[in-house]
Amino acid sequence: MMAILGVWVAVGLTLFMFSFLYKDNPFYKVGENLYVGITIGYSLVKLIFETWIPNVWRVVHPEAGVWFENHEWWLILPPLFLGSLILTRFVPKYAWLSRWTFAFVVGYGSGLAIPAVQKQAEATAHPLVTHIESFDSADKAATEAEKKATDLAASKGAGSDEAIKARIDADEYRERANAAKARKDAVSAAGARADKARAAANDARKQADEMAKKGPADSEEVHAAQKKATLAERAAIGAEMATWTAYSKSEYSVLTAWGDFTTIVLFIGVFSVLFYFFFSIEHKGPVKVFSRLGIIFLMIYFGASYGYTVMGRLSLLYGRLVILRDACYPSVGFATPVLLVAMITVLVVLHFQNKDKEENA
Amino acid sequence: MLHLKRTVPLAIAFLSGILLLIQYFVPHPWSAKFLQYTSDWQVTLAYAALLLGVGSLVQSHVTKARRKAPGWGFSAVALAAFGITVAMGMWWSVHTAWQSRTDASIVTTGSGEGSPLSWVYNSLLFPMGGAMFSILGFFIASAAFRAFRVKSPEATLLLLSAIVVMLGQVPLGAHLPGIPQLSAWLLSVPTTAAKRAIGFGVALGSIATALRVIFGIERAYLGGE
Amino acid sequence: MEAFSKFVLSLDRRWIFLVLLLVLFIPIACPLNLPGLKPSPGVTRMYDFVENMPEGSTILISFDFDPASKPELAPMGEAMLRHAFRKKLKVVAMGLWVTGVSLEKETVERIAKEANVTYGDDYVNLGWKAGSVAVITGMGEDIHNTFPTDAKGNPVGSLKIMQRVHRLKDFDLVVSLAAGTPGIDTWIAYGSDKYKFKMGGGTTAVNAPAMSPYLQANQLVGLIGAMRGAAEYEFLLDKPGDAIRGMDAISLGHYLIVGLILMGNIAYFFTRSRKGVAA
Repeated sequence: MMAILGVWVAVGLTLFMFSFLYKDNPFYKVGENLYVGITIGYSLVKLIFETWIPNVWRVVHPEAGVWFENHEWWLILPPLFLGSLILTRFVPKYAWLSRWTFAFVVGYGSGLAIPAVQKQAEATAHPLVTHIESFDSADKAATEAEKKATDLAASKGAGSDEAIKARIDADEYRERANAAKARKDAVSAAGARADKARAAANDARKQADEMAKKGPADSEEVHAAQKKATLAERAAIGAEMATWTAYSKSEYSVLTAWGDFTTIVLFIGVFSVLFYFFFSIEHKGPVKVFSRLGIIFLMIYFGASYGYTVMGRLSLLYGRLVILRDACYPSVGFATPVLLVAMITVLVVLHFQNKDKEENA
Repeated sequence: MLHLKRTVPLAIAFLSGILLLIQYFVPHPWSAKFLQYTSDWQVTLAYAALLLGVGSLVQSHVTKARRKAPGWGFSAVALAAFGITVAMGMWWSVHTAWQSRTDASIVTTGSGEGSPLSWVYNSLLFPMGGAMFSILGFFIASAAFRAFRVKSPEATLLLLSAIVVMLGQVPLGAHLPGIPQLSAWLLSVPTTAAKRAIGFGVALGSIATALRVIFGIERAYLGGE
Repeated sequence: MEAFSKFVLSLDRRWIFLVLLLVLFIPIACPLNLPGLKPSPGVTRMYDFVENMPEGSTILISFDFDPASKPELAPMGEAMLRHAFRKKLKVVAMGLWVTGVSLEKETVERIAKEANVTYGDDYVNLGWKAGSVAVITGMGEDIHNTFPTDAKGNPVGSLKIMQRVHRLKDFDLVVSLAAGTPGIDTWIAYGSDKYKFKMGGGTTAVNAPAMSPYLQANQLVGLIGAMRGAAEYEFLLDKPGDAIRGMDAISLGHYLIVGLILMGNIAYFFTRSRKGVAA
């Protein structure tokens, strides 16, 4: 019984809210104020029972808390004291006492915010252009350095300063060449994995297609096979992408250049937008061009945000419409159609009443 | 008196700010304990802040209802809804607490399963919250129709970026040649750049404000006088 | 053409409302099953991360939203819970938004029942605490202090999962499904940046573009964006849910809006060029 009543109330209130689309009206006003009242009431109850009592009760209630054993019960006193100071806002004469608490809250937030925000800003400053050594050139440099070190050791003696320095240099070059070799190997290993994954995906897709051709195309087996093929294809794409990534890390290539181009665009974007917002010099000449570039980036951002927002709003609307559809059935007494008709009737009556009033006036 | 009203709060803000800043850079068991205690205090403190908010809201509605200002009936609705919700939550907790009075864990049952408050949540709060924001879906459609005009190069850019992203979003559009790639690029490069710049600006602003608070230059939180 | 432009430009917006309502309602009344869902990189990264977590790892899912964003974010929560239970991960759920707690409880209990897992051993619900930033910071230091009891009133120390997690760093993954602030950015700024744990996110369409820098800077292991992201996750999980069912209506809605923009501009162009001729 309560469940069905709940459905009627939910549908009725949803329609109250939707009635705003026609125009502002008493139904919507009632709904709006109901919402405000219930939200703050609900938040208050939640606050009392889920934050305040568990965090304070454990101290007051000896069985619930371990703090008594740890002699840490006094820790609850500062927040209780500071909390009561906030409530002095209701007594104008002593309202200034609440400043102490606000000072603590604001100070806490500020102290915590500085390092946190600084970390965020750091993430923005990525290195701009990458330089990657290929294995061939690194190997060549290492071989040359090794030869030089051997020659020096032969001519000036292995213990001489020059020979030792040359040896250290040669080792460093060799280390870099080894790293380049590892990157190169990673590319071929990733490539082999990608080939294997792609072959598996092709097989799976072929199998699925054959099954669809043979049997009824809509059967569950066919769906399962298609699903399997899609997942295999996804894995293959992932493996191929990994190969490309490994390749782009192995030597300077078109891919890395594209990455650098992207980074440069990002960099220009960040700075032109910052420029547009923050530099208070007069925007003319090259400054104007640069800040205008910032506007272009901002416009793309706002457009993309709008595009995404559409999806968000439509999703919410979809959610509500599903609820209205589910309440169309006899099991809940045709709540949606009945309430919809009732509300439209009332709105029509109100409309004519207002019209009469206007005419009489 | 002036010291109590101004110097003490400024000192509190300075001390708490500077200590929390220092604890970040000095990893020591004491600084960790300090951070943990102050954070726990903030959690417990939040009750008073919410009480303050609830108090002022109720006050404003009561004034409106008492003066019989235009639309006071709606204020009465809000007050009644608030009162009934709180009463339901309280009644249920006291009721369950009485039933299981030997159990120390009674304290969080204010809105447990089968309670009147959970019914209120599911049948009132939930549908109204959903409906209120879903109305925006209608307005975004009419805004698309009325406001999105090719009036200038910037507006054109805005419109094109919106259309590409919208088409890139939906499954069918993702099969149009080039659209998903372009949409992904728009999101991962120019959009990210703009967002980072905005984020950077906000970061600089917050650090500046935080420093101003700690050093007592920013005093807006003290209120008037 | 002039008559058309005049008609379009003077159209009462309530007609547009009505058309939108009808367009969305058609697929709800009779599903069309439009094809072509392709998982995006952010969602794939998230799915792969969870998929590769070893059995018994712990995952914290924070439901940071209220009923208004349920159609977008609840399907993500359901899909991730299903995935976690399927991979035999230990799940800890919580929330930073007070009006979302009941929704979170209901979702977690329903999926747990469906997966047949035990409370305390396989999943825990911490519930809600006031103070967002302070809650995250407190949890970074000692969860048992910030949450002395779980949502059911049990002391957290008595729950098997919670005996192995004491601070945020002990989690193998923390996921925030957020409709705004406090949400993903709060978790990153005050949580993962300082306490160094892996962070994943799911967010509404409105917030998704703003979260892209985090994904790019690898501050997030993956990002599920909007109802479409949820649908993609359901697809990868091979368990169609509310999000996949909703994609038909959402797609039609998008086409309608793109169509409206084009129509408005055609009408605008026509009247403008006429005005130009007249001048």
